[in-house]
Amino acid sequence: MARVRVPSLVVTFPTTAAAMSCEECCERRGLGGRMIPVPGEVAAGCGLAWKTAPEAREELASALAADGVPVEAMTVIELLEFR
Amino acid sequence: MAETMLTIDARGEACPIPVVRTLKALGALAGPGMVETIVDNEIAVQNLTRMGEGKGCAVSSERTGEKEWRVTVRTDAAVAVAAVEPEAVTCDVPAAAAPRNVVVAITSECMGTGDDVLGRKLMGSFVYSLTQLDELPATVLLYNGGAHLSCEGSAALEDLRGLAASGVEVLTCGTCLDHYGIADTLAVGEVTNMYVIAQRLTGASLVVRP
Repeated sequence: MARVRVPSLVVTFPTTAAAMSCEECCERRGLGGRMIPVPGEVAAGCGLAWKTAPEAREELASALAADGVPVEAMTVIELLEFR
Repeated sequence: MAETMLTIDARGEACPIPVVRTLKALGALAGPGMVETIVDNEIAVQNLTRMGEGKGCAVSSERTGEKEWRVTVRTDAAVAVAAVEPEAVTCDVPAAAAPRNVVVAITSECMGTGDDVLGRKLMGSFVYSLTQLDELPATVLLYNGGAHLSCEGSAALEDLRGLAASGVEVLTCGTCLDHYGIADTLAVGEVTNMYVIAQRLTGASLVVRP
């Protein structure tokens, strides 16, 4: 199995609690994605981020807005994935 | 009067031989002149440069091939060189890049203490971060509460499977699986015992315990 760089949507949040709310929101709604540590390319410092496919941006943004989960930024970067 | 020039082919010779031969040649000049030494590694260039400058000479170097450098040491006067014994010459030799044997020992479902909900998120983040490293660890050991991570239902399973498929040895303590009653749910890697755990930990160049 190889590791390849794949474009990924990384969502950052103003608080760790908001990141956890995002996870809860996505699980409840059946939206894909996963929690990851905030990549250094996105922001300095420590924190949790949500990683999903770039094409999920609109659906995710709507879901988070509907659930009142505050978002800091949405960024597409390449992350390693096993393929 | 033409400048005296000596050429030394020191390719294939380990430190300190290129330095010793160049020093002897400088002494043999017994006056103004230059010594050109051909070497096959950059460390030899650095050592020759340091030696030449230490003797008050002008030193220049040029890369002339994929594995060939020519170092020119020029002197305006006789260079005093005592009888040179290789053992008396010190060279900087970079430590060979030893193969790393990094072992990650995961002993709990949680990373750190305080809030276990946060601790589980942090451990999941840590295992994910392993997958993003340039150099993957050799082994991931999971014992005590860490045994849960390699079993069905674990949020870290996908990452551990990817690591295992990429050649990382993923070993879970069999005693721990039995203790927690989760032996039937092991989903990645192999079951191991304390002898192997002890061997992996003591044989590691670095043990990381998150």
